[in-house]
Amino acid sequence: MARHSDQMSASPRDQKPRLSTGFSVTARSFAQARQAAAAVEFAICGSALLLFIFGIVNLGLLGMSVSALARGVQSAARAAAVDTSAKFANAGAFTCPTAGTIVTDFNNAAGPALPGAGSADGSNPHLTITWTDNGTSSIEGDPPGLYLTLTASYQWSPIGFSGLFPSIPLSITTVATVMGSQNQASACANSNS
Amino acid sequence: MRQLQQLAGFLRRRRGSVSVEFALVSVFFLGPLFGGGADFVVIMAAQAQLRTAVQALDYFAWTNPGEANNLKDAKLIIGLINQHSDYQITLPATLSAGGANGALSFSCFTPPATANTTPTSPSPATCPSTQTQLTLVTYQVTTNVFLPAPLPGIFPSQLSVTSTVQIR
Repeated sequence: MARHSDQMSASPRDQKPRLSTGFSVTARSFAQARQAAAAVEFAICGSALLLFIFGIVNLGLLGMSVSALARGVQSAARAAAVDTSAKFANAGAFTCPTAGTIVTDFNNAAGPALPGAGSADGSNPHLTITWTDNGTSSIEGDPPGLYLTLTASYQWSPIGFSGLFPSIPLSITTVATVMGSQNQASACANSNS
Repeated sequence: MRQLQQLAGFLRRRRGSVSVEFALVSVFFLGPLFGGGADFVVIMAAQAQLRTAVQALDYFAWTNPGEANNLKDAKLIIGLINQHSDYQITLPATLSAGGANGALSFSCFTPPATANTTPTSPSPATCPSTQTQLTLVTYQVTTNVFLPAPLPGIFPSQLSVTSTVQIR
């Protein structure tokens, strides 16, 4: 670098004013120069344009994640409710799918748009599985039956902006109704661990 | 006079024009574009939740057709969703198109139905013996969204989704 600055100052044009106000004269001549102005303008506008393009790409990825999250939740909850309904029709008692089965159904439906989900704390996406068993309730507003509430939460991070923006929390919840009702206390275990 | 000359000189100068153009583009183009993009994402996420909620109501109606028009029972489903959702979903008493939320409607058609079948819409139990009656239920759910860059008249702050499904 020292050798480079020597070469720069070797120009007779730069040497003379450097004795008194060298820095200000060099800065002024730099500001007045028009060489490579297009490159400087492109550097300014190009970085903004690149930011803009990455923003648009991330909007698309975010939309894809939301869509996959909704698809996964709807499919997994529906599969769990249909499976439980079919077993109730055959055996007359509720036999609910395990958390692992629901997670597998979610991952199959969501596809590669999301990383592999889990029901354990810290997994991302995280599935919260809650069964509500109203038994043979005859209370209005509290209808009988078994209901699965499935929530998928996902901390979405934009690509290309790591550390610049915090992750965005996405969440989709659905309720699937199981066909059949029976007073069967704690028919299915809630699982978020 | 001197001030006018200074102004004329300022207007003639071309130094920093790129920065001025970039500032104009940023304020009037990129800013609203990113604001609109953020609003779009919020609305898309809320719409996904609303569609999921109304689908849950449809499944409830299919599973409990006798309770499909009981809005108090339907509120159980929405209540369970609201316990875990970022959006507070409501079941308005009346549909935006008119009529009660969760109201049943009926249609008659002559089987077998085809793509060109146009059902009539009588009151219940008035279908002729040669026709089959359909029972349908209509639900509407709404939610309020907080938009990061609200653009009046372009994006609504209240969203709603309506569905009509056959239950019998």
